[in-house]
Amino acid sequence: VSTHGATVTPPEQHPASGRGRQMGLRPEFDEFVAARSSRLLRTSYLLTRDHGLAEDLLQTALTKAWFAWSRIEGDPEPFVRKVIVNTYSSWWRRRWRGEQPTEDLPEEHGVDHADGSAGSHDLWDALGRLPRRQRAVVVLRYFEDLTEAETARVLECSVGTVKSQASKALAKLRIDPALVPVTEEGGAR
Amino acid sequence: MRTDELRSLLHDRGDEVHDVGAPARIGAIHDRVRTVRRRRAAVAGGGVVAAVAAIALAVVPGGTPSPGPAEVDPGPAVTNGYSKDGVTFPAEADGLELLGARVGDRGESELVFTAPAPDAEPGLQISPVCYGPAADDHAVSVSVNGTFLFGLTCEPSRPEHPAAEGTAGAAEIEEAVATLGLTPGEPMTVRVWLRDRSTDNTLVEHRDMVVGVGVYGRSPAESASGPAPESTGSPVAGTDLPDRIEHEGRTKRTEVASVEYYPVD
Repeated sequence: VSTHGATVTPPEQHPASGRGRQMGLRPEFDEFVAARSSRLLRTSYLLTRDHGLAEDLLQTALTKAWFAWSRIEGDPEPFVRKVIVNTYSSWWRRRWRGEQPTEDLPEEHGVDHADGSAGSHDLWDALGRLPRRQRAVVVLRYFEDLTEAETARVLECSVGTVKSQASKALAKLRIDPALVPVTEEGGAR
Repeated sequence: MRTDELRSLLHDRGDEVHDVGAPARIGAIHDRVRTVRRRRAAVAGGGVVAAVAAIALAVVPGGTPSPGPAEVDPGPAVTNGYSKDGVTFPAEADGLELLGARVGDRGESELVFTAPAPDAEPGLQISPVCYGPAADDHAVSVSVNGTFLFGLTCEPSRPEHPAAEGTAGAAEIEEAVATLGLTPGEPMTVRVWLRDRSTDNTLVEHRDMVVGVGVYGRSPAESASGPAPESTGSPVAGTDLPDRIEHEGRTKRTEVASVEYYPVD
C-alpha cells in the first residue's frame, strides 16, 4: 500500500507478522527519529499551533510508526507524516465518555511576537480558525510543498477534494475579519 | 492575502520551533511503546480468559429471546474496503486493515455484526460514523462483545474520511479494549447505535440519521493461530463465567463443561 512514497507491506505478506513476534531493538527507527523528527515537529506545530500538543502529536505518530516499522518499505517519512496528519484530524472530535465533547484545542501560549509583525500574526490567527482538514491541506501544500496528488495520498482523498479544500481554505482566509482591510469609516473594503 | 504570504508565514513559524525536546524524544517514544505493549498484553491476557470461556461453555438453548437488538450478521466482505452511500472505509488505514464495516440505511439506528478480533498488536481501532440533520442532539455509541467502549458526537453532514476521524488507539479506548478479552481471529460482536446526547446510553431512533462503523486492526496471520492449545487440565480459579450469554439475538444459558487454559505468547 503506497502512502506517498513509502510502502506498507500488508501484514499477511510480512514474515514478522503474527502473535509470536518479539519486540526487538530498532536502531533504524531511533536513527530516523534523531535525524527527521525535528522537521516533523514543525509540521505538527503548524497543525496544532501549540508546542506541547505538537510534541504530543509527533510522539503519538512515531509510536504508531514504531509498531508499523517493519512493514514500511522505502522512506518512512511520508508514512509518519501521513500518520501525523490523520491523527491530528482525528483529534477534532473528542471521544465522548459522559462528558460533553469540545471541538476546540487549547490555543497557543507563550509565543511572543515583539517584531511588530501584526499582519502575519493576524494571518496566523486566521489559519487557526480554519477547519482542521483545510488547515492540513494548507500545511501540506504550502509548507511541505507537496503536490495536489501527494497531498491527496497523505489525506487519503481525491485530488478534487484537495483542490476544493485548498480553495475553501484560501477563500476563508481572504474573508477572515482579521485580514480584511478596514476603511476609515470602519467598514471593510 | 496571497499564497506566497501564506507560504512565507508557514516557513517563518516553522523556523520558530526550537526542538528542545529532541534529546528526550526517543526515550519518551519507547516509554509509550512499552505502555502500549503492556496494554496489549492485557488484551492478550484477557484472551486467555475468553478462550477458556469458549472452551468451557456449553451453550444450552432455551433462554428467552432478548428484546429489541438488531440481528447479528457476519458483515460484508471487506477485503477491498467498504463503501455505502458515499461513506467509504478503505481497506487499510494507518497501517491497519479493515476487519469489518457496516453503514446502515437512513433511519436504521442500530447495527450489530461480527468481525474477526484483531491480533493483540497493534490492537483495535474503531471508527464510527453518525450524521444527519439532527446531529446536535445525537451521538453514536459503540460496544464490542456487549461492553460499551465510547461514543462520538454526530455530524450534520456525511464525513469524508470516517477512518481518519474516529478513534486512533487513544489511551482510554485501549484501556477499555483491554477489558474485552478478545481472542485474535475469533468473531467479536460489534454494535453501534444512535443515542440521545442529553440522556443515557439508550438506543433512540431517528428517521433521518445514519450510523455506521469501521473496525480496523491486524488479522492474525495464519501462523498466529499456532498449534492447538495445550490442555493442562488446570482449572481457572477466580474466573466468574456468566450464566447467560447473548448470542445471535437470543439469550442462552451456559454450563461449565470443562476448563482449560493455554499461555499467550
